[in-house]
Amino acid sequence: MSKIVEVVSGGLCTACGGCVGVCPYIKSIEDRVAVIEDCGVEGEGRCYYFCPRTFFDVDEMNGFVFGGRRSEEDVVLGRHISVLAARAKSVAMRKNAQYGGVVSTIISHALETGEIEAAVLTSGGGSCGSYDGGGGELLPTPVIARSKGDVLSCAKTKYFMGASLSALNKALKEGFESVGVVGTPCQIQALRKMQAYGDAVQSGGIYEKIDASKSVKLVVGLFCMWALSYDFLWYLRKHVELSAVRKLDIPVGGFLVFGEDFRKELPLEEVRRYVRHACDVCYDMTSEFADISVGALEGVPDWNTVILRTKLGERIFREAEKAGVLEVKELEVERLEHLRWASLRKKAKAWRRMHEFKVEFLKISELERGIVEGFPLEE
Amino acid sequence: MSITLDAPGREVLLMGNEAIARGAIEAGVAFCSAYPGTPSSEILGVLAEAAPKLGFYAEWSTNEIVAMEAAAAAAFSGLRAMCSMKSQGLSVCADFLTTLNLSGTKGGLVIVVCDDPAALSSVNEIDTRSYAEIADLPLFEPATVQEAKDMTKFAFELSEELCEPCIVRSVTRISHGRGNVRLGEISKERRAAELSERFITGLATSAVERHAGLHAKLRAAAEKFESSPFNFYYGDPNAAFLIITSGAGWLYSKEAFQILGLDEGFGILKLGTTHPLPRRLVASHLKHAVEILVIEETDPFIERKVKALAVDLRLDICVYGRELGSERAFADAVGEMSVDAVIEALQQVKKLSVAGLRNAEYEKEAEEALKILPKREIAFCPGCPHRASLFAIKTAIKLDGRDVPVCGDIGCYTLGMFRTGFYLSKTSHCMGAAIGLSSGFRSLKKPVIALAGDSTFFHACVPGLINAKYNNANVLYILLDNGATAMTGFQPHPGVGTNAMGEPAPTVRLEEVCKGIGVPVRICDPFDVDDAVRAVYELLQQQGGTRVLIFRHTCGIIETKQRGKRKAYVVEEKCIGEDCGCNRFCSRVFNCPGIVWDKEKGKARIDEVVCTGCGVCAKLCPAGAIIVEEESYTG
Repeated sequence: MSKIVEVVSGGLCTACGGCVGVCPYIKSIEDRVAVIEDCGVEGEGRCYYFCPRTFFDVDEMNGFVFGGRRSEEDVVLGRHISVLAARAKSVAMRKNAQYGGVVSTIISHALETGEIEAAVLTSGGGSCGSYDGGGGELLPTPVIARSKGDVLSCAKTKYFMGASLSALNKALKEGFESVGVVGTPCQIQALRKMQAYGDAVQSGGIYEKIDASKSVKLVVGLFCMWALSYDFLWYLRKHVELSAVRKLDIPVGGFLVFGEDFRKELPLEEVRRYVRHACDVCYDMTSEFADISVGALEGVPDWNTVILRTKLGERIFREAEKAGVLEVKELEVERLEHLRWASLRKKAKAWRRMHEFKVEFLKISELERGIVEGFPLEE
Repeated sequence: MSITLDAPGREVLLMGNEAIARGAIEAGVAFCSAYPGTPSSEILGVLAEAAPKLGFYAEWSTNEIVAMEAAAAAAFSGLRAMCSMKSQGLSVCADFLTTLNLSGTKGGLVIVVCDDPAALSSVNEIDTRSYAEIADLPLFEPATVQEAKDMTKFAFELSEELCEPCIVRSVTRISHGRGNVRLGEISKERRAAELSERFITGLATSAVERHAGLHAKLRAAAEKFESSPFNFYYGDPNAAFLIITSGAGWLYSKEAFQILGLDEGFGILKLGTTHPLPRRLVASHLKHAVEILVIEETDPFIERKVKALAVDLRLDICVYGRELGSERAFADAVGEMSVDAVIEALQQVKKLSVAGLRNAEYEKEAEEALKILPKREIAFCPGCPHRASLFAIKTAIKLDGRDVPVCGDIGCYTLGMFRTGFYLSKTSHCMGAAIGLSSGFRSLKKPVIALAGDSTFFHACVPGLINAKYNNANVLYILLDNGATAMTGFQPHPGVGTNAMGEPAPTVRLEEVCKGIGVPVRICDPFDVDDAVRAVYELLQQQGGTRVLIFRHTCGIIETKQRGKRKAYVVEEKCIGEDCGCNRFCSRVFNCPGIVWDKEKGKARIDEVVCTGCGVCAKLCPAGAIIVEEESYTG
C-alpha cells in the first residue's frame, strides 16, 4: 500500500493499469490512477508486486522471461533472436494501421488459429467528456478483443495512456484461459511482474484462480518514446477541430496531425511539454520483455520494425509469415544502428533522470550500468 | 385524528406539536404555512392532514421567509394565519419579520418557532427568543403540552387585538413531548378574505412613528401579561429563594423541588409570557426573595430582564444564572436543561446536600448497560443514494488529484462530514451556504464542489447559483436529488408533484431552473457507480465556470416503500475477506449498515433486516461475491 501511494504521489505512475481491477482501493479514469482509500493490508500486496515502478530488477526479469542474465549484447535492445522489417500482406490492414499493420495481423492470426481466445488491446473511443469537443478517437480504452473485427478497431497508435492492463485483470476474472496482450513497454513490464510475482501474495477467493503466468499466452510489446498527458487535448483543440482528427504521428523531428482532408504539423518542442512525467524515467523503449516487439520503421510509413525475442514469439511470427499474412524482409544495418542508438539514448537519459529525482526502483547489473553511463548525452 | 375532534372538554393525549396545531384549529386558523425542520415539522404535517376536512388551507412553502410572507398576506386580508418553523428558520425570516412588525397585521398572525437546545437535530442551538426583542413582538413560551395548545389559541386573540404578529416559542422537549390536553371548542367562524387600504400604504408613513406605535402595542401586551394565567407562582409565598423559569424549565424545576423536598423558603415563578416581561408581577416576587436562580433555555434571556428590573427597583438581591462572565453564573449558557441540571444548580448555589439522591444500584446497572450496547455511528440508511453519491465524489476527487474541497449543506447529506460520508464535507453551515461559500474559494485556484439536496436547492440556493454563474466561479454544484425532504420526514417540495394536502401540484424541475440560469447540467444515477465517478471526474476536469451535476435517485426509504426490498446475499466462497484484493471493503470502507463482518467465518454478511437490496455494494465488490436477486419483496 505505502509503496504504491508513493508511486502515484511521486508522479511515477505510468497508468499501465496492472494494479487496476485487482482491488476496490485503486481506481482509474483516463490516465489517472488513484488510491482512493488505505486498504489496510499488512505488508505489500499485489499492487506492489505488479507495478513496474515499485521495483524492477532487469536481470531477475531476464531470467524469468528468457532464462539467465542479460549479456552485453542484450543491454541495448533486450534479449532477442532477430530484428526484422515486416508488414501486413493485406493492403486494407495496412491502410487501417499506424504503420505496417504487423500487430493487428499477428493478433488476428493468433485469434483465428486458436493460439489465443482473446486479446487485451487498446482501442480509440476513450472518454472525452472533459474536453467537450470530441477527440475521443485519440483516447485509449482498454478492450478485450475476441475477433478480427475487434482487433481492427484497435489499430493505430494512441499517444495517451489508459490503464489497459485493467482489461487483462477483467479478462482473467472472467475466466479466459489463453489471452494475448499488446502493450507499451511499461505495460509489458507490469504484465511480466504479474506473471513472475503473482504467487507472492497469498489470498483466497477469486484470486486463487487468477494467474497471469498460466493464462497469458502471447505478449506483443510496442516501441514507445513517451506518452502525452490528457492536457495535451486542450492544446490540440486550439489548433484543430478535435473531432476531425484521425491520426497522430511523430516522424523524426515533427508532430503530425491527420484528419480526413488535412495534415497539420505542430512544433515538437511545444508538444513535448505535455509528455507524462512518468515517461521521463522510462528505461525501456522497445518492450524488452515481450515475446515480440513492434515499432515504426523510420522513414518507411507502411512497414514496421519487429524484434523477435522468445521462441514462442518467433514461432507465432513465422507461422503468420508462412500463412501468408505477413511480408518480411531484412532490416538494413544502418536502421538497426539507429534503433540501437535511440534505445540506448533513452536509457541514458532515464538513468540520469532517476538520479536527479532520486528514484530508485530500477536494478541493473554493473555491466549494464557501465554501458548506459558511457553514452555521451548532450547537455 | 384527535386534533380535529370536536369534543370540548375531552382529554386526549397529544404531542406538543399536535397541541400547537389544535390550538390553531380552535382559534379558527384559515391559512397555515411552514418549511419542514426538526422539531417543528409535525405542526404543519398534522394541519395539512386536517385542512381538507376542516376547510382551511395549508402549504409547505419553499422556505421559511416565503412561509411567513404568505401567512402574513393571509393575515393582511383579515384571516387568521400561522407559520411554523425550526429555530434557524426564524433567522431566515428576520428581514421580513423586522418590517412586518412595523406594518402590523389585521387577522391574527402567529409565528411558531421550535428551538432545539443542545442541537439534537440542528447545526446550532440558537435561542430565537431574542428575535422577539429585536422585532418588538409579544413572546409566549409554553411549559406543558396543554399550554402549547392554549397559548397558541390565545396568541391569535392577542395578535388580532394588537394587530401585530405574536411569537410562540417551543423547544424540542415540548414539541416532541406528549401530554394530556383538555380540548376546547373548534371555531366555526369562516371569514371572507378582504384587503383593506391600510396594508397597501401602511409602510409609507415614517418608520420611527410606526416604531413608537409598536412600542405602545408592546406596553398594552405587557399590561395583559401582568394577569395572564400563563404566569404563576408555586411554593412558599414568602420564599427567600426563588427559581424563575420558563418553558421546559418549569417541570424540571418542579421535579427538582419534589426530589430535594424543598418547600418552606423556596418558590418557583413560572413565566409563560417572557417578552415583554410582566414587570409588576415579577417585581412582587423579587421583593420577598433574597436569592434567585434563573432556569431557562438557552441564553440568559429572562436572567437579564430580571437583573435589569432588580437594578431599576434598587433591590439588593443575588441572581444566579448563566450570563457569560458573571460571578454568579452557575454554568455556561449552553446545552439543554434537565432535572439533573436544576438539581446540580441548586446544589451549587445553595450548597444543598444531594447525597442519597442517586440510586447506586441503578447507576451501576446503567454503567454496565452502556458497555454492552453496540456502538452505533451516525450513518446514512441502507439503500441511501447519498452514500453512493459521496463515494463517487470521493473517488473522482482522488482521481482528479487536486484535493478539491467539498462544501456541504443542510440535509441528510450533512453526514458527509462523518465516516459514513467518507469525511468529504469541509463545511456545513446553513441552507444554501455551500454554493455561496464555494463561489468565494476562488483564490484556491482549483474547482470547488458544492452540495445541495433537492429541497435545499429550492429553499435557498438559487441566488447562490446565480452569483456563481455571474461571477464565473469555478464550481461543480452537485445536487443530490432524492425526490424528498427526507431528513425531516418526506414532506413534498416543489420538485415532487404533490402539495402539502396531497393534491397534485405543478412540478418545478431542478434541471430546468439550472438551465434557465444558463448553467450546463448533467444528470446521472449515483447507483451506476462507474458512470457517477466519471461524471464527477469529467466535470472537475473542465476548465472553470459553474456547472451542475444532478445525482438523481429516490430516497432509499421511499423506494423500499414503493417497490419493496430485494434479497441480497454473500457467496462465501467468493468473498475474499481480509486478504489483499479486498480487506473487508464493503463493511469497513463503504460501510453500509446493511453489511456486517462475520468475524468467525472471516466473511462479509448481509444483514437482511436492514438491507434494502440497492445493489451498490454488489457493484463495488471486487470478487463479485454479493448477489442481489432481481425480484423484490415486501416486508
